[in-house]
Amino acid sequence: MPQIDVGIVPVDMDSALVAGNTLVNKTNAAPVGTFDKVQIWAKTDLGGCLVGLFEAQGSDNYNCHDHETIGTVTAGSVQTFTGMSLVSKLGSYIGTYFATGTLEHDTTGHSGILWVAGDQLTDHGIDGYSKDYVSGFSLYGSFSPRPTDVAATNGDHTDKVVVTWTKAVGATGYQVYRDSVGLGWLGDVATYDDEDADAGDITAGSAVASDGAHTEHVLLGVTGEAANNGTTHTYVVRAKAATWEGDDSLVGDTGYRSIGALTYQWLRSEADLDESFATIVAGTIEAYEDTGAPV
Amino acid sequence: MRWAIEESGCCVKGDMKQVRLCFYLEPADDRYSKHRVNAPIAPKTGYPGKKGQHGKPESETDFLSWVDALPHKWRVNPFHNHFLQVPVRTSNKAIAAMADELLPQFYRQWKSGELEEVKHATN
Repeated sequence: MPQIDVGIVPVDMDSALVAGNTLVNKTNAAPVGTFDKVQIWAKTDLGGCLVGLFEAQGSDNYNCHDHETIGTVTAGSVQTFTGMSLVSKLGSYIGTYFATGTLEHDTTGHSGILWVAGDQLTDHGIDGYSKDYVSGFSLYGSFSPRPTDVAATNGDHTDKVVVTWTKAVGATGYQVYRDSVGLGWLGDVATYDDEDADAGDITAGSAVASDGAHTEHVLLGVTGEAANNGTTHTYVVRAKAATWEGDDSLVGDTGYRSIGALTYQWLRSEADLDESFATIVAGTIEAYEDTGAPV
Repeated sequence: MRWAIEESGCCVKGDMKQVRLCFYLEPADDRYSKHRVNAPIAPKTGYPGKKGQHGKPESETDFLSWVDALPHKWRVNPFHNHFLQVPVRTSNKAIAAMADELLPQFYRQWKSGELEEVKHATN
């Protein structure tokens, strides 16, 4: 699945960074979005770990505009955290503070780190950071942009299924999938009318007419008729922007077209033959007494 | 598989509380050894050597020697961590029910590799 990411994919690196500082990974800045997944690799267990997103406020000043409490991070293997909500601005960098422990650090091959003593995440400080231009550390954030709250109408319309969703942050286009088939890319919208969803149909049933049971009319009726809603389809929605295409909405919805209420129109043949039918104008109910039938 | 609440990652945010769940593999589970590690156990006082610029130890050699000399302990790290955001008054029983529901879901993702999957996009 495609992911939008920030920072450096965490691995077991050669060096380490020590506790008590705010550290920002200058490698791989973020686009606009909401990061829900963070991965960290610690060299020794981290205590009191926070993770945040930072934006530049001048040449050496950075502001942490959103952060989450992680807590302890166990060392020795990559630790993955989900269920977060870190909202990034264009060009944000991912950073961290931890009170104890050490974090995997690579001395070369990256775009550098920013460093300042103390916790600048909780305080949203913009203190002057010192920096290097080559190192990086094992901290990474990602998200798979998806629309949410996908809903499809269940028989509200006879001519369409209306699909709605909540937009994904940063997305500029959407595609609705009906039963896994894409229906074409749309613009920056949050609703789609699926007029090609399967229409409902009618089971005609059998007409029944009384045979001499009444002297003043023929009693007409129908058995076995039915109004069948259209096929129930499953809908999911996918988002995209100029540089990425996201995943399908995690949860989709089912929807269908209705057929509407049944109506009736009786017709009578001229003779005892199955042909030459004429409309009985008043015969518009299911159980109809045809007083115009010839004696 | 099993889960546990990690108190260090729990906090209150207004009317909501964040609950951190850790999910662990058992020996019979898929790729159990991936998170069974012989981890260095550092003292709370941390690295005693001199710190250089940018939060780095002044001497990499001294630092790595210090890590190597630390007591090590075999243990099982979480194969996944997840944060629940729930109303403050959510009961422990309700949280346990959520964790019970999430455990097999995350294990399925672990088995398929989806949890660790990293695919760079063009940001």
